[in-house]
Amino acid sequence: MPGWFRRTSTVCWWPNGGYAMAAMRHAHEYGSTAAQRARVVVDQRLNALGVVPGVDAGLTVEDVLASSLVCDPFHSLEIVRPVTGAAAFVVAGAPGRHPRVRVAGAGERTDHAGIAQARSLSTSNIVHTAVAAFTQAGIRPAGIDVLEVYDCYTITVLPALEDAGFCAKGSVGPFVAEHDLTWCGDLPVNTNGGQLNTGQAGYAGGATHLVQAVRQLRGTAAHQVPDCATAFVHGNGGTLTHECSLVLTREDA
Amino acid sequence: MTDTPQRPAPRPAGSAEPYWDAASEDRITVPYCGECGHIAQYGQPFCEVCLAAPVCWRQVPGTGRIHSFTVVRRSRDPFFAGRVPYVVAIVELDAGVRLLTGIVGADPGDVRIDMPVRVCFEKTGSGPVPLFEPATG
Repeated sequence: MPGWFRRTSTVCWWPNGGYAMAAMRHAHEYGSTAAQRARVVVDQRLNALGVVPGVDAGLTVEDVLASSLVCDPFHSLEIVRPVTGAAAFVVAGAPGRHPRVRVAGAGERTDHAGIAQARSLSTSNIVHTAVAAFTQAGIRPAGIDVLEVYDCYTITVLPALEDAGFCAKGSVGPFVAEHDLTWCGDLPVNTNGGQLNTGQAGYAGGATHLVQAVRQLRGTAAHQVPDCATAFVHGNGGTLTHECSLVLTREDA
Repeated sequence: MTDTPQRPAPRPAGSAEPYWDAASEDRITVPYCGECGHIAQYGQPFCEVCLAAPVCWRQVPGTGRIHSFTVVRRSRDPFFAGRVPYVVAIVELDAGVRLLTGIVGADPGDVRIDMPVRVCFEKTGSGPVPLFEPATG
């Protein structure tokens, strides 16, 4: 019953508010800041530069913080914009013309229906889905070359890095400040700019992360991560309700 | 005289009707398991402890704390557009159940996580709507 309260007259808040309250809670428990969240948009903007039509200028953390507050603590540049578009991939058993990418591990979990019923606003069920995917693949987070992580808001990326095991719980703020999340950095995240820079094409938004991971593993991405052999892909639906993690590998890896 | 935008009327799903019936009498109720007595989260079709299906309802004090909140600064809804900036919150009742609600009677800039709050009922054309305000004294 996802609309149990939303359909009522109590508040008018969806969907910005749910993620905003998750960001508020993460900041309360772990001290993550707006500037740290802004790093996600800024680094991904560099990934989009020269690749995404209409994206012709970089962003600074100051630009993000100067954009208008929409739903505290979110500034407008931390929120995905709706666009029209599509994404597709083919799952096949037999070899095709293209280099093959293998689904090496997968994990999926559905929890609460409404965000008020979430067990935690600051720790997602990625702790379960990522462990399942990594275990099945026999790969650790340190062995991942590229991350394509659902980014309808800045806050979905930060706890995802913690909950999938790329850094310790509560440490993602300093972590993103110390690491380079661009396609040429030490932890490439959302190498096509992510949805925050390309827009969210409805339900196709999640699939864009998978398509980008496949391109990276085939070596055909516009901003190609050198010698990319492993990818972590994560999708989120509802309001941190449905979580799905994949570990993909290059066939020859 | 122009029409003033009205708060959208509650449209409770079937399982939520006891909650809204109680709210119409200025009471806050929580669901609990008729078999083992475990207090459930709102909207659960069965007990997460014993898996029994019967959901009963019990009145609880309308007191709790803000678990998290946001300040909404833009709205396309005619009624809520007239109320920006307003506070939306998840309140954890002292009974242990969290619900989505609004915070009134406070400057949005003064609202904090863990702030003690108590229920208040805003009278509307379609009945009382449970909101929360800072608990003082």
